[in-house]
Amino acid sequence: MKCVELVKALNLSVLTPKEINPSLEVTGCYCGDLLSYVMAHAKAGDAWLTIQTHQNIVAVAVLLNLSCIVLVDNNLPQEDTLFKAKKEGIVLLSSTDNAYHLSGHLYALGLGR
Amino acid sequence: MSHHVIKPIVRDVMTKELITITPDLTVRQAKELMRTKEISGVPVVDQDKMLLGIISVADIFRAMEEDNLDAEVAKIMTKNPVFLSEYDTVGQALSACRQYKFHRFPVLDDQKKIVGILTAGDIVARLSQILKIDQVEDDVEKKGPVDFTSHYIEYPIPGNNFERAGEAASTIKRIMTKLGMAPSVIRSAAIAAYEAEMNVVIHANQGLLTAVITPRDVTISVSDTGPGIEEISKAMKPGYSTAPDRVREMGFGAGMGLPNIKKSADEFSIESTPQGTILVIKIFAK
Repeated sequence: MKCVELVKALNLSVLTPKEINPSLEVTGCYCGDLLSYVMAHAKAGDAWLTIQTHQNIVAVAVLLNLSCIVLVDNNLPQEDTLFKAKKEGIVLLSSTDNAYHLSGHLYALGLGR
Repeated sequence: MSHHVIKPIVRDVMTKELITITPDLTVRQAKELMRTKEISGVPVVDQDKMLLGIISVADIFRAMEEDNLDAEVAKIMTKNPVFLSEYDTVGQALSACRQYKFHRFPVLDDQKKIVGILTAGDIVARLSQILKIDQVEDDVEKKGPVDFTSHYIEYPIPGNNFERAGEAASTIKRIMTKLGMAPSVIRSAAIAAYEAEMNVVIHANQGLLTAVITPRDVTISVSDTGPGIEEISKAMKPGYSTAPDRVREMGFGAGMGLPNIKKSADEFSIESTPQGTILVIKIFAK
């Protein structure tokens, strides 16, 4: 599914960039807050659901070619995280929902199945 | 599978398009030549290209102060200047640069005839060409594997600096991508480099990551200055971590660092003493 469709379906807030590339694909999803597990298991093209808000999440997303980061449970990024995401061109989203509900919703939509 | 070792000699890096003067020229003429050719020093040679001396901007200034502009170059040049042999290694040339604090060395052949001139800038320019450091940007546009022999990356890792954490791994990933390597190889290298880099950031005082990328394999070495890993066998077990709580709250310290590296690597070695830890990770480009 397209990233812009995901934003709409889950009613996510877009933190950066101003305009998401309409052709950006999301091919799967990974939930996790321990960065080493994310490094080991998340795949390129995944949406990553996490409660981590510090700037190293951008490095993880860049290294793995993740499609976007979704900050769950109403978490907002630290200022330098937002700055780094802008600089690296990483899509940073946020939701008031928790990871369980969001991933359930994505699963029901058929993402990554 | 070791990378190609390059040991360039002075002849490989020196400037061969040589501007020289003879000792019978006046200082004024030498000054004009240096101004128009935009050079700051000229070797002085006889008819047989044998080196007699060298004249620099400093020599010209001194001549001007002493009102010697119409004197012959022979009178004010530096006689018996330090020179390099064309077969000296670039390493020897660099140590000569340090020892003498000169910026320019005449290069002589076996017969003591001048064959070139070497500046520190020449060394940098030619080495970056040989190591293809300066060609990466040009290669971005190309599709598919880029023709290269060996690519070297060196990246210091400051301990406890979470702001820059991940930059070394990102650099490796970016360069491997530009070199057109397979995504699976890039992924393994990125994971291994990231985990090794984070280990330094979390646990060590100061570290250095180096990577040698060839079309056949990637070798990543990460060394630090301590305090070392107390029990490596424990550290290799998934879930074992000595990371402080402050760092765990950020999602680090899952105890998966070394296990992740080992899983990503085709060859992996680790040595640790209280003075430091060295990881060597090799990933084949299958």
